[in-house]
Amino acid sequence: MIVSAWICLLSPLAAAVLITVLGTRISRKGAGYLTALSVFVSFISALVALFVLVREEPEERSHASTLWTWLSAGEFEVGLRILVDPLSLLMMLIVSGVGALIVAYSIGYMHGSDEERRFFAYMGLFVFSMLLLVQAGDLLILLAGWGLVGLCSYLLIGYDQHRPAAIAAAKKAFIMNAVGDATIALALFVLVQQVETLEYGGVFGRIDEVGGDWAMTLVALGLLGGAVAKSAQVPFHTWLPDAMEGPTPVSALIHAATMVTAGVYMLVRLNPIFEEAAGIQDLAAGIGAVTLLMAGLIALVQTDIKRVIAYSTMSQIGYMFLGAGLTSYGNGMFHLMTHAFFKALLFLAAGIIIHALVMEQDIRRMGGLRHMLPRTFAAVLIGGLALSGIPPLSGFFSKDSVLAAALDAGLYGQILWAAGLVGAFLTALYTFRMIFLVFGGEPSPFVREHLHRPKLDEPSMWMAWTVGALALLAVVGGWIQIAGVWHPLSDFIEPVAESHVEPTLAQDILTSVLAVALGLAGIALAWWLYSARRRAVPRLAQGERVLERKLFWDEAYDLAFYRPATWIAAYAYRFVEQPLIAGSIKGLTAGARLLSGRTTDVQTGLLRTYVLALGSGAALLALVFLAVRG
Amino acid sequence: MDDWLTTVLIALPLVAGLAVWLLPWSNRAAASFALLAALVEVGVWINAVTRFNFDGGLQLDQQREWFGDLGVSYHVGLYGFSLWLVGMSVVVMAAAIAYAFWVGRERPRAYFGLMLFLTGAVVGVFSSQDLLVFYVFFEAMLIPLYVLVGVWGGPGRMGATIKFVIYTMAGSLLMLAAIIVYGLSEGTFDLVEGGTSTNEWAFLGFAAAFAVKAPLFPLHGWLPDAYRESSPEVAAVLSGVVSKAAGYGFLAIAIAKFPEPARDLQPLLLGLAATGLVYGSFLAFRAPDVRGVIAYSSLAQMSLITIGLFALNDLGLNGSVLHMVNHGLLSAALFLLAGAIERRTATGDLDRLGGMARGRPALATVLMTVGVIALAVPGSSAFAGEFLILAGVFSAGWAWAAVGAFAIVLAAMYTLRLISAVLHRDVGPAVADEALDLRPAELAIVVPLVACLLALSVWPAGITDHISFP
Repeated sequence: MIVSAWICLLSPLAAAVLITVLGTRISRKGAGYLTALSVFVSFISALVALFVLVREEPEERSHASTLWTWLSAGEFEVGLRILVDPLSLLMMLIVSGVGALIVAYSIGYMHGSDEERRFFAYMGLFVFSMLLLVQAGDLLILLAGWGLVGLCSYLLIGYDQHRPAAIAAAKKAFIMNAVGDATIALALFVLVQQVETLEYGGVFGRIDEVGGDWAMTLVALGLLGGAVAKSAQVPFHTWLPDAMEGPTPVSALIHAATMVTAGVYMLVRLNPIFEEAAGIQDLAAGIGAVTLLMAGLIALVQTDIKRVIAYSTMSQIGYMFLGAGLTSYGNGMFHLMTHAFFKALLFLAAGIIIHALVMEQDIRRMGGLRHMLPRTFAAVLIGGLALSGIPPLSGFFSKDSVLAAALDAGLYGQILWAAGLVGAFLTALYTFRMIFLVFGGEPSPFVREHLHRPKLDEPSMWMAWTVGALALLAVVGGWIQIAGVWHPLSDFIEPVAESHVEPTLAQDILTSVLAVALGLAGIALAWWLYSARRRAVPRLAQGERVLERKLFWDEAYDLAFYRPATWIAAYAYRFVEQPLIAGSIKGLTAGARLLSGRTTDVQTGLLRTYVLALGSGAALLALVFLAVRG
Repeated sequence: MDDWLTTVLIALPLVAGLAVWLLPWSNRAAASFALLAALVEVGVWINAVTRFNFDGGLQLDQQREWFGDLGVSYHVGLYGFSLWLVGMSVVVMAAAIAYAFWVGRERPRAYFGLMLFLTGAVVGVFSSQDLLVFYVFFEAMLIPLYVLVGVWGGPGRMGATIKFVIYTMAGSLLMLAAIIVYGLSEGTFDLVEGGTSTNEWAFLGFAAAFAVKAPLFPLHGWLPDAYRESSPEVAAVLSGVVSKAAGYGFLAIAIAKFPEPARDLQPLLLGLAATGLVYGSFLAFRAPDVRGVIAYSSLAQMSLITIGLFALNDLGLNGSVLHMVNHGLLSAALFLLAGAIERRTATGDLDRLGGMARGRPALATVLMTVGVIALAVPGSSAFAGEFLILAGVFSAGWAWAAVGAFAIVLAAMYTLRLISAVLHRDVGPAVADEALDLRPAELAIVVPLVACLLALSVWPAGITDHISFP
């Protein structure tokens, strides 16, 4: 089984390396097939591992394997170690399963782009990095995967290298995540000092030895910093909307289904650490609630179809943070899984729309597409309903169980529960605003002029069947766990992360009824505002502008960090480097020249000067001797 | 113990250098012979690795009487950590010589003779176990550099050379004084026999010399000009190899022989290094040209290495040695790539570059790979080194580690700025469409450096597990 886990990890890396080395000797299409195949191999390997694992006793389902010592210093040692247990296996299945579908979709989507090989090499590298992140058996290996997915995200957002917006977005994403990496590193420094190991079991087993609450709080806070940055939660969220500059399959794979949920995985994986610092865990849940509300509000006014979905991703990850922060780990992971299905579906369907409209992404210029792209419409509708938590689609089961768990978590939990319900209303509102604007009404002039229906050629078929598969998953994916009735997924995760909240059936039902009612209300309001085109009614111009500027986060960061950094750099050069460092040496060289010049003057070549100098020197010496003796 | 291998490592390039210089070769033959000698040197080093016992302290050592009365002897040998520094040096020197071979330099006999002589001197620095021998090699290393910068450099080479000479001379004189003080008080100049000293002034003498060489803030005045005005391969050697003499000296002399002063003055050294780390990173962020970014990043990275050394614990030392090897390979690769870019565009000005990725996949891939390792993306060997360094210095004071973590973010900022300015955005005015991708010969020079870095990323413990200190 360990062998299949290693195959699962290394197969996409092998594809990426092969494409890089072969260069133009592999055809563009061949690169796509190779990568898709390698990720599919990963998925099969993960399935094999799953079948072995479920036949074991629940408490025995944990297998580690170390290839070699990766890094060492004195007593401190880090192995290149993977861990296969229910939690990592669930993530492996999601990453490789959804990943394989999205890579297969990319074969169609990227067809005709002139640098497909580079794209697929990056995709392979990403899947490897993400699997390394979830399979790591050591915090430093986790951080390695963490950094590498950030790198791939940078490379893929900036895939269109000549577009300044794409490059700027890529840099922003990388630097914000570098801040997160740095806070994780700081947390690990504390752990290295306190427990002298970073291996999961070793750390969890020796948490008690950590001196002082502050140390544990710092560790948890540092880790949370990384999780918040990676998962685009407040206040490190501003990179995600900009990341939509990347190709759409990238948005689906990295910025919806897998990488951005790594923060949730971390909260669950490292739950023994976070539970030692309960305040930080509550903070995580609170951050989730704030993010889900804020992102939901901003999504209401976005006009770029991918940005609407991106804000919705932030908001949904907020739910997962809320769940994982309140120790409802199983439900958090459940929502992570269904979200991967329906959000990947929405992005890929949006990709079909963008393709059909010659890369236009502005929803104000779309309209009436339901007759022209009926199958895409059906896919988006399924995704939208699942996102809005309407039964019996997957989002209903997972979102409601997260919220019901919150209801069981005391007063703080109840406040977050209320926030989550408001979020459910907002979710339905912004989702169906998008759907009504894109598909409802009559075709806009732009659509009439530019739409070219997807031909049913081979590339398009790749896009079609993968979207179909995801639509199916978005429908049935939630049936694996029904709150209060059966919960195999939570039970599966239980040995790794035991939940401390158990909502009653009454709480479950109350939550579901309210959430569905609010979701329907959101859809109804969206219909009233956008489909019946009665939008003009009550407008809050001021508030809308604030939302359109995304609550001024970008401006604040620019003012607080970027500009000071450039100022410091400029002033360091002007007032230290130039006058002091470079200036001093200039003075020194000038002094040396002056001195040598004066010394040269002494060499007149006239005998009388030399005799004079010699004589006066001797006289001076004689005087000195006399003075000393006397 | 009497093993000739270390002496061979030192003497082979010295003799080959003299041969290139003195014998009447044709230009092409001289260059070819120099390259061959540099490659043989790498082979000899690999042989040394296979014969090395990493648990055994000083290895492959050889001692011969020199001035017996003064306690001076020709004593050379290698510890585990110096073996890796020697390896990094011979690989980088071979790459630099290969680059000069490919580009072609005027008066090749003198040029390649000096490059080989420099190689021998550097190996001598890393392997001498007697302070006077160390001093001789240290000076022997600097003299060819003065000439290489001053004769083959760019238009501002004279100013650059004068600065370089004044700084390093001042440092060397302080070091000579410190060597004499130490040698006379111990009765021997031998590093193995000599005991530890508590003389703070002697420690400071050594520290000053190495601080100039590294360089540490504020003694880096020579650095920007020297790295900008010298030819790319000499800049690669200066920042990749020669700066490591400082790290070596800190470790093998200043810390090993002066443990008490090192501990007492730890805050001073850490303070200077931390200042240099942040300061260098900020200046790299605003530097207007490719070489400027690499030069100031080199200041920052050498400061980081110094931080690790003066953490004074296993984590910091191992991390510093690993990072010295990393940085040697990285900055050499970066300077050689800068040379390749300058050859194509006749400028290093970031404003005039851009868009070079388009149609040049090899250049883009190699520069991107080197860049992301240089910014220490988690999982890379540079990250492994920096992690150990900062985890080590965390014990000395959490604030130092926090400054280091902050600097890692800055490193991401200045490296990405460099990468984008060269590769991405619109095509810059200096970039002609016909500017070629990296040629096979250039790839053959740079790719081995990158391959070493990737191998180290897969297995940094290859170094950290195989290491021994005096």
